Amino acid sequence: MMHDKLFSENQENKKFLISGNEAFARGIYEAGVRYAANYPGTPVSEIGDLLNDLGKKSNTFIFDYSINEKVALESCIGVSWAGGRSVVMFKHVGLNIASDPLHTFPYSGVRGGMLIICGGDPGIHSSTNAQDNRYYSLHTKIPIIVPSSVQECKDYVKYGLFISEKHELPIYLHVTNKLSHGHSIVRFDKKENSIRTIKFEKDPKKYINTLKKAMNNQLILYERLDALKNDDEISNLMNKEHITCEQEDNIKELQEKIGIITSGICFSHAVEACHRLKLKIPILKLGLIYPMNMKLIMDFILKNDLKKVLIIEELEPFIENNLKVEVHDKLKDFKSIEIIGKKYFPRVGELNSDIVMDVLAKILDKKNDVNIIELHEKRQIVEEIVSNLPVREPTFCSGCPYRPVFYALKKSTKVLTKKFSWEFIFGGDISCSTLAESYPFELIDYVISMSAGIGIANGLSRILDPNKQKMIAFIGDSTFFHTGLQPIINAIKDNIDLTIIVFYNFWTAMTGHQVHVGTPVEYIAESLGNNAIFSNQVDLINVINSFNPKNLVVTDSYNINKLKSIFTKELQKSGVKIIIIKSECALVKARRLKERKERKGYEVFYRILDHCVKCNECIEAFGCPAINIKKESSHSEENEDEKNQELIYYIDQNKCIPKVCPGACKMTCKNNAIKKTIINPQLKGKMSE
Amino acid sequence: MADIFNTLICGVGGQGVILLGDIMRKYGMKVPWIKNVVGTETRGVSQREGSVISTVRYLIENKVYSLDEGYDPYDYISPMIPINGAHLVIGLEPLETLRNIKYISEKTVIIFNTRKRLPKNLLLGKNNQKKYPNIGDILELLDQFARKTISMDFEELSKVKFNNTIHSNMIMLGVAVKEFLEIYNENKMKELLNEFFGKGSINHEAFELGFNLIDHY
Repeated sequence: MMHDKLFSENQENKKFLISGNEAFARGIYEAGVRYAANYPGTPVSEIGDLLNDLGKKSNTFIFDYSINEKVALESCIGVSWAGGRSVVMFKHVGLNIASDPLHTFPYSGVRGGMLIICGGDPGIHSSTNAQDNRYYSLHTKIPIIVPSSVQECKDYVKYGLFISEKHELPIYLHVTNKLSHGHSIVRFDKKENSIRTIKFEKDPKKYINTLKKAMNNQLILYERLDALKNDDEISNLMNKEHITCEQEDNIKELQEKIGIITSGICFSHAVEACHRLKLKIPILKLGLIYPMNMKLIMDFILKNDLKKVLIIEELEPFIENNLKVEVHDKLKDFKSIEIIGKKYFPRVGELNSDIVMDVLAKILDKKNDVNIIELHEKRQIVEEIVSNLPVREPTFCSGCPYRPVFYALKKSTKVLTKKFSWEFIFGGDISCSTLAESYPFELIDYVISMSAGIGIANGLSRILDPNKQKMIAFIGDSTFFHTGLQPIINAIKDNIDLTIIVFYNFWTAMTGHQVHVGTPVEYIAESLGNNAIFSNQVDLINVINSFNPKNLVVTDSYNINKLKSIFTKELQKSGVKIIIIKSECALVKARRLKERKERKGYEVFYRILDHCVKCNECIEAFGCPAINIKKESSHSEENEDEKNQELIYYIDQNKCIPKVCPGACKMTCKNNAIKKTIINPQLKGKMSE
Repeated sequence: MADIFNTLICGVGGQGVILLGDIMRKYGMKVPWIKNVVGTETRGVSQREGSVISTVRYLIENKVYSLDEGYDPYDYISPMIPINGAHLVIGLEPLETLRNIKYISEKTVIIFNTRKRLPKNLLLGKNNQKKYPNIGDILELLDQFARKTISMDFEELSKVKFNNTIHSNMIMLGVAVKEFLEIYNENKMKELLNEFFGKGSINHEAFELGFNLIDHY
């Protein structure tokens, strides 16, 4: 969607087709938020990218690409205490980084409304785990709201800030990737303007959490939480009851007195499942799931005379267990109520309307429903077909500066393994370098969390026999500034035997090429304009130099022979070795060069010549997506006779980016069959180099 | 006509799956008989050379689910297509189309590109226990389940006509629009393509080519 409409005041009641992340950004705009901070992470990175644009042109709104989630959260606390509305957003595992202040600042509470938007990934599409962040509320006492539609993604930002200010509590907004990446039609509202004056009013009792003061604040926190729990106005705003299929003619009243309690995206799955089975079932959609308003839930159960309550939620039984505890306290009223959920639903993976329909059929004994029979038949067939299909493993982009590094590293370590019988252990990071785990490199031995490649190596290196096993750990530049400094300094202080490879590609590449503090000024100016430059950029190499490392090498990434000799030399040294690979992300660089309006010069391209002996080195060991094989003479796929076909190796000119990658593949070819060709437009002729 | 019209677009990162999904969702804003549009797409690490899908769901009728008074029922549609639920599948890549067979049933029309994109690990027969299936076998399987399969090497067609394989997605969109004229208004779609690409783009020619590719009686 165009930003001028997303961030424009005169769009009241107009409808737009936008994504969940765009809806959050619009909600933040409409709510008159003064400050937002973010460390990028799928599935909520796009909110930050949108707000960064808003921040550049607005006088009343500031956006910060924070160095990590903890700083992002803390800066939002500061803005809130000064009276401004603030929103912080990051992915589910980011909350772990921010969890230290998260457990204490609710004691002090907020002044300006404060919202934490956190994107979960129950299907683990782009994360290292599926942790259910709703559990954070149990020990931080932060209330959780969960939107069920793209419209609610926008509306709940405003509701959340309203609740936050009314009860002086920060609010946690829980969203999953199916909704933040979902699209739907959203009605816009008018922009609210903040009326609070911005000033930090000193209040030691409130803001200093030590000893007795902290305990006193703890009591106040529980009082606030109780007030919210029993706030019927908020409960009516956030929670809605529905009856499915009311207007369908052919629906009979159900025998079983069953009702559904659900929240988030699962509500739409539940509605669709009931519709497909033509079930008339009352559904309570909770928008505020912690603390739960028990009066509302008791009303729902009693009014509908329910005997069974089915809880539909992804991952852990959060609502289910909380409800069981609450109901247990009121056992006298609820003796005959059965609360079920994870007895039927999986704790692993995302839910969908098929799974919900299947569970409902089981509970209501509707196994002979035509929908259910079809579902089971199809599942069986699909299982057989799909389990035999080859998987597409993601790989480095064509021209990526990481590929030559892993290629050279694999060669060098192989040589050293042969010579000294060393086994190399490779510590992975959360970065594009994680892709080296798959074919053809398979050079990652563990992946846990941001900068844990080096952190875990701090232990491994100290305990492993240095004559048998050697540690190499990777880290990206954005991770370096995020949490990478500490494990590197920890390794340097005791000079443990560890090789650290730092990928300095200038951007937070994997999450969408966000700028970070190490991005060189001239590149930001060219890609994003002067406005995006921070007041001070920090050179990663200067930072590492200040640690006084004994062994430090800085190199670019495309000269494979040079890389091989560096690795072979450095890996034989003892103590900490730091190798910085300084080469810009190929995707950004290609885009940057394209936008730079240069006069037409020489055209360069690479091709594979006829004397290629098909040794497979460039495909099997290097694996650039631009290098491909085609079978000559096969037009009809039906008559595949593989023996009679000739394999042709070629470079796909649509994928190769010769302006960025200076032909790293050339050095993988022992027969010099990959050639650089230059066309001079003035001469209209070809020259080979 | 079904109350919800479901489209699945599948292929490999870089083929234009996300763009095509974007266009088809935006179309839902163009005509009065579509009350809401929902959809979602795969993101994250799967973008480069990985499997990509995009879903588009049009809510057609007025009363689909009954919800409370004062509550807009169009808001709450799951962005995921149920099993057997696709009315239209645009398969930009054969293996990826077969991978999504879960959604294909007797109500499905498949627009199927026959040009293979071999996963890197299969180029040299590595990972031999799981081979890329024969195109003939894939088509046979799809025919078993689908109402209709329109298959062609759309990339070859795009290359022959426009000297670039990249326009195959617009050709396939043209075929899809012709298949579902009760949902798609040709002129409204052209209007939308104008908004996306501006006038004079090859994408218009590619769409036109697809639209006129198959005669309907």
